[in-house]
Amino acid sequence: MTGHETIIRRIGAAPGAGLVVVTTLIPLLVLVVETVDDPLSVWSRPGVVDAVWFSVWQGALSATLTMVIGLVPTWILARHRVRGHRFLLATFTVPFVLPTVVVGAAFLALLPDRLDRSLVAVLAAHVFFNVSVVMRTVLPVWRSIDDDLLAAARTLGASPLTVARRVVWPLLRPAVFSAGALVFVMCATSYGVIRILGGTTWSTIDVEVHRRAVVLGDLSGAAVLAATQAVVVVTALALWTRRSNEWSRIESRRELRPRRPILDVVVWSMALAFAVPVIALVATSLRSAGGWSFEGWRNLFGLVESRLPTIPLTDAVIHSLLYASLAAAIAVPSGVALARVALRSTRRWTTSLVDLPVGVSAVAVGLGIVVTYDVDPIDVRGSWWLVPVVHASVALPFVVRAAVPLLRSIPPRLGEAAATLGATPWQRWRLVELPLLRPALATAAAFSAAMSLGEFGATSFLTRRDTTTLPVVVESLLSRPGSLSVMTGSAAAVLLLVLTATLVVLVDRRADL
Amino acid sequence: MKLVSRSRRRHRAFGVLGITLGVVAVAACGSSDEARPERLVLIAYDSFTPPDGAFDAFTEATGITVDVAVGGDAGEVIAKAGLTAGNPEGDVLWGVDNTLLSRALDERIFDPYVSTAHPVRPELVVAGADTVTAVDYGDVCINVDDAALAERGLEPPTSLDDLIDPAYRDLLVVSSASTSSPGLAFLLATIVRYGEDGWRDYWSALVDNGVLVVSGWSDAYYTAFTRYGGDRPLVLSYASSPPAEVIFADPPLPADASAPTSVLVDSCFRQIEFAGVLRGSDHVDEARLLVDYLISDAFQRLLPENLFVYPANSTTELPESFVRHSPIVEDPATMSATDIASGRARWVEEWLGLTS
Repeated sequence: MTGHETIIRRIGAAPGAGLVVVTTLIPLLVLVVETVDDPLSVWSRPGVVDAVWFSVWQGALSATLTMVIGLVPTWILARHRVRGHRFLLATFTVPFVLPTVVVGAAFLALLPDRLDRSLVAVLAAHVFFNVSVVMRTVLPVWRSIDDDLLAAARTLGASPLTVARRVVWPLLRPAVFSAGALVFVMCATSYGVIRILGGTTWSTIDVEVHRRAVVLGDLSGAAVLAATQAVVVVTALALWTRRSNEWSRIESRRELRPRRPILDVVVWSMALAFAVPVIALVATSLRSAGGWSFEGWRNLFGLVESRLPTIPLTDAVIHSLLYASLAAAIAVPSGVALARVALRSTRRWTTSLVDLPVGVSAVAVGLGIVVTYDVDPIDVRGSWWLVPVVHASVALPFVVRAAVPLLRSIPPRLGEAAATLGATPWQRWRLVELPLLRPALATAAAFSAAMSLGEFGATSFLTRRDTTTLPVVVESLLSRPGSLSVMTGSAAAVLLLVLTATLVVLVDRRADL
Repeated sequence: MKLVSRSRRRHRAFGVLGITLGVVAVAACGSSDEARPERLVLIAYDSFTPPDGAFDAFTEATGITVDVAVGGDAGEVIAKAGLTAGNPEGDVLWGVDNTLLSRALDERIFDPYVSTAHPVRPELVVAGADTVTAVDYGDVCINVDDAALAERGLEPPTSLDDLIDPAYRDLLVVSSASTSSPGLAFLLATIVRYGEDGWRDYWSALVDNGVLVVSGWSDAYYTAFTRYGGDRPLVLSYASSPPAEVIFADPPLPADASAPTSVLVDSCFRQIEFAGVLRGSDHVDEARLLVDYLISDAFQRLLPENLFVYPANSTTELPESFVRHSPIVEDPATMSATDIASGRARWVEEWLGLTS
């Protein structure tokens, strides 16, 4: 590698790292500096230490369950021909974007009464939301494991179990650990699920940050907790990444195994289980006090003179799609560039830094942005584009995680060969690396777009004019009484879900996933 | 998602991104102040949904356009306004209530101005502490699903004491005083009724009688309340919820039908919302005109059926739906903003201890 290229690569890290620094790190630091007066007093408040402890063990438990449950359909879809596999992939991805208030209501309606507002409900919802993280991170890697390798192992007398344990698992492990770490962070910093399904018994650090900042007006305590959470999450992920750093090298794509009815049954019944809350949602959108009715849908699309306050549906859909495209357009190129740096660099700070946005409370970031960018010429408060930019920073860790394993699997000698034949670095990237990266890019783009479509916390917290998104519409409809409100709100949530599923299927088709 | 396909598309995608960023940069630089503003920014909470054209009369009279900027619930809006006091995100703020007012005053969010342009109910004016103008009020009350209660052979409860009667065991759901604004209001109602000495015993009795505490209003109303699939016919909501149940009923109810829910008047706590000029606004004089407009009859009469609150303007008439379906709460529990501010943190922490 020439010095010239190293510099180019280093510069490649700038947009991604810059995004995180500007949208998350600086606001958080400024918030801490401006508000914290006594960093220790918050720890003696009731419930705070419990919340920290609950975040950690519940996060670990949720992540373990999600991995165990998520790897089954991932394996089936990665290695076998399955009827309707694109549809299945979309089904497992869609929960990721559902508004928590909607999923919470569906879970409460479905779970037996004694499990309502219990730990079981929380864990089930976390699995439901996050299986897509496992699937989307692990599937491309699993699919690209070379068949010849496995055949060779079997020829040498290895049992299927030995092959799985000694050949497949080591190849998958980095991707699995990486996804697991991300799911852990998502669950440990969970907010909406805990508020609705955890009742008043359980509280995470994120819930405490919100409670202190918003309900109690204790900004100092909130900032201390938010900073602690950020430091803990980033440190944990950095250590974890170091441990799981022997990424595998995979050289060729493989043929899918023929269809097996039993696997069809397994994966379709899992998908069905995932669809149950969705079906419940559709039912809610159609159930009125006097039987079934399309009135909610008619109101949503403005087909009747609505008794509800004006719903800016067209605007909300356009904003949601625009933000999702912008978030993906920012997060995917900067994330991939960052992943290339992360691969070659021995220093881990860039990759750890990138995880910061998922580990920070949306309220803390929102407050931080408000106090940081408040003087001309950087007074950007209220600007419409803040929302997609913040979405992009939250999507960045997912993009990097999707890109790293496949970037690593591209053999350097391919590029070297191309260089020998006279290809410029740009041509090597465009003609060699990029085509091999398509599944990862698809995953990354789908994730960023889905993340942005479903994001509620930061979107609703940031001050905005005439820039409502679909999740905000759903939430505002579900926060007023009346059958029509809940029917129309659920209809809007179904629409959000259909938009996401369509987007995911289109991207997957492009990527051949 | 063009980035993921062929490289030529990639060039194009970068082009689009470049143009977008350019537009963004231009848009960001284009917002300089002028002497006479053409626009004022009104900051509000997410559920502030006046109908289209609600500010037309103001624009006609003054030539100033009003941009409504929302972001989060009332508590979140105040948290942001507190951090930006003196250098605000807008010119006028709508929606600080009496449970949050002291915080707003402590952090000097507002430039003192109490509008007298239109008549406001006197009891609301006093509560504004000479800094803000009362714009609306409402009552947080226990709502009753009359049909579901009748099915259980029970009469609707008539007092807070009834709620600890074993006859009403496991029938009530409320939202948490620690995470929701109606929850806090209900806690305050019990403190007003039973006093500093009695409220803890009352809550212990409520817990013994099976009260369910959930985290937010929609959780209580849309998942635990019998009208929406839950198993609790008594729910903490607002005095204005019964008219909403009628207006948003599906199938529509005939005009003379009675609301499917009623209100336990004895449980009500009065919430008053205020608007004020944000300290640091560059357009204080115009912002005051806007506050005047907010309490004018033209704007106030839009409030009941859009925000489900009662007008502060004493000359504004209530719409038919409210006259018919919303109870007159003669004697709601009230508490001054200063008392709320001094007791709140301690009460909420003690309450948490009693209920969890």
